[in-house]
Formats: sequence, C-alpha cells, structure tokens
Amino acid sequence: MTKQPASVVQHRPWSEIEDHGLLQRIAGANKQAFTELARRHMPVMLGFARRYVSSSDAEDVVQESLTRVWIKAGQWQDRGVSPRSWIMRIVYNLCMDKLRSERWDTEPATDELKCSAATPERAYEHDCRQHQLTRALQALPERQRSAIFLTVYHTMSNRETAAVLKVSIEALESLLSRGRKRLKEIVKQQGES
Amino acid sequence: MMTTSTQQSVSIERVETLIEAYGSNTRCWPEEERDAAMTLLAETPALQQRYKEAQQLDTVLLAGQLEEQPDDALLARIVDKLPPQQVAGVTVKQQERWQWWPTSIAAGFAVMAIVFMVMNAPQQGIENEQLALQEMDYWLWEEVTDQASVDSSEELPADFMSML
Repeated sequence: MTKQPASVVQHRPWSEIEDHGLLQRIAGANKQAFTELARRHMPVMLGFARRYVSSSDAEDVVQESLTRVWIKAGQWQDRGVSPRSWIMRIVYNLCMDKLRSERWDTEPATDELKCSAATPERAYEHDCRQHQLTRALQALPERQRSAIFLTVYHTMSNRETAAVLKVSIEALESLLSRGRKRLKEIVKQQGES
Repeated sequence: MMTTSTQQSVSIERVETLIEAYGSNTRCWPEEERDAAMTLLAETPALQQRYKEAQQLDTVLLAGQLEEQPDDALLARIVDKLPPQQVAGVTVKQQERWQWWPTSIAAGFAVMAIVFMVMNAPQQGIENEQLALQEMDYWLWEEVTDQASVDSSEELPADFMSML
C-alpha cells in the first residue's frame, strides 16, 4: 500500500485513518480487522443496496462486496480516495450488475400505491408518503438517484460520492442539481393529484 | 464576494449552486467553501428563500431514511466463507506454502535422519553385542584356557557355559 504524506493524512477524518489501518491489517489476512471494518460499513452497504435490489439480493451484494474487499485488500492503494468510497464503489457496481442481469423492475407493486391522502390513520399516511417518495426517486435517472442516495441518506462527502460514481465534483453537482430539481417537480405533482 | 483567511471565496451564484446540489444540510457542503457560503447565506435574503425551498424537499427526502444495523448473522456467514487472499496473483495459501517450504525440507531431512538412525540402531546394537560377546569369549577363553591364540570360532570348552 502506498503511504500518503503525513500532511495529507492529518486532514483526514479519524474514521478514515482507522479504515486505512484496518485495510493494512486485512491485507495480512487479519480476520478480526476484517470483522471490524465490515461492522463499520455494513449498515450503509446494506441500506444502499436495498434501495436498488431485493433484501436477499442486497445481502448477496454485501457479501460479495466484503469478500472482494478481503481478497483485494493487499492490492488497494491509497490514492486520496477514502476506503469507504472504494467499498461503496464495489457495492454500487455490483448493484448495477445485478440490475442489468436480472432486469429488476424498479416500479413498485401496484397494490402498494393504492393510497389516499384522505385516509385517517397516520401510519397509513406515512406509508403513502413513503411509497410516493419511493416512486418519485425511482422516476429519476439512475445516476441522479445514486448521487442523492449517497449524499442525503448516507451522508457521504462530495469527494466520496464523486469517487463512487466515478465523476468529477462539477459533474456530481450537476447530477445532484438536476436530480433535486426533478424530484421537486414530481413531489409537487404528487401533492396536486 | 466573501473571503475568509482559510476558506475559498464564494459568490451568490456559487451558494445557489451549493443549495441546489447539496440541499439544506450544510454538513454536505464542500468543507473548503462551507463557512464563507454560510456567512453569505446569513446576509442574503434571496439565498435564504432558496434555502427554505431546499429544506422542504429535504424534509420529504429524509422521511425515506432507512435505519440499518450491522447484521451479525450475515457477517458471521461472510467471515466463515472467506476465500484465500490474493497478492499479485498469488494466494495467501500459496504464499504460506512457499514460506513453509524451507522448513518442510529441513523437517524432511530430520525425519529421514531419524528413520535412518532408528533402522540402523538395532542392527548396530546387535553387532556391538556380538562383538562384545566375542571379546568376552576371547577374554574368558584366554583366562580359562590360557591360550591367547585360540580362534573364538573354535568350540568352547565344555565347562565354559557354567562360567557365565
């Protein structure tokens, strides 16, 4: 693994520095370090994957991603990209592969969408809002949707998100702006109908 | 245009872009522009309006936040099924095999030496014993018969066995 100058490392969040250390230990076949890294990132990995594929497929994606981290840890190079971005890039690629191979239908089931704003039960209203939001997000192009998922739901920084999606910061900001603008229009339409 | 000593300067247009792209959660804004952008936001009503609109959308979005916990059972399954690691095309298992290679050879030689010694030891012992007996025979024969030149292979005197 290539070492970064101390000045670069100092400006990194502590969690990222810890991830670097864990990856180095994983490269030496340390299963305890692997378990620690996996526990640290598994919630985000699962959450992200479940937004694209079914729950059982999401578990498969996470398993495959972590296995790749284990196998490739020795080859991972610190080139200014955080380990979290690297891991999420693997998850993202596997989700896209799964979607392409299975032609997963992104449309939610019809019965789930039968909800009315006039329904008194708050829980049901909440479900309706969730379904409307899911539908609105699914209406976005995949790249815009992924950019929003990573920044809003998984609080990844702009640099991390750009690394996951393999785009420049400017391109990421463009994806996010267009995505949010489109989402705003859809939510507005849903409110009117 | 606002400038701070450690931060990049930002324009109103840039803050608009930040709000449109990253929304109302200022923690998502680029770190190097955040402080200057927030200062400008606090001073500009037009930006505050854009910020409020972004907040409304974020409220809708955050309703879809999923709480995820580490799945210990899944993690245990993953750890159980971990394959050998790869370093430049060579698996760790293969590496370990190569690391053990000199030790294995040394151990092999040691085992061969021990086997050789064990296989030869009883025979040598028997030979030594026979030699000792021969010497004893000779000495006894000398002692008893007082004939130094007698071949040990010659027949022993009849009373020899009773002397042992």
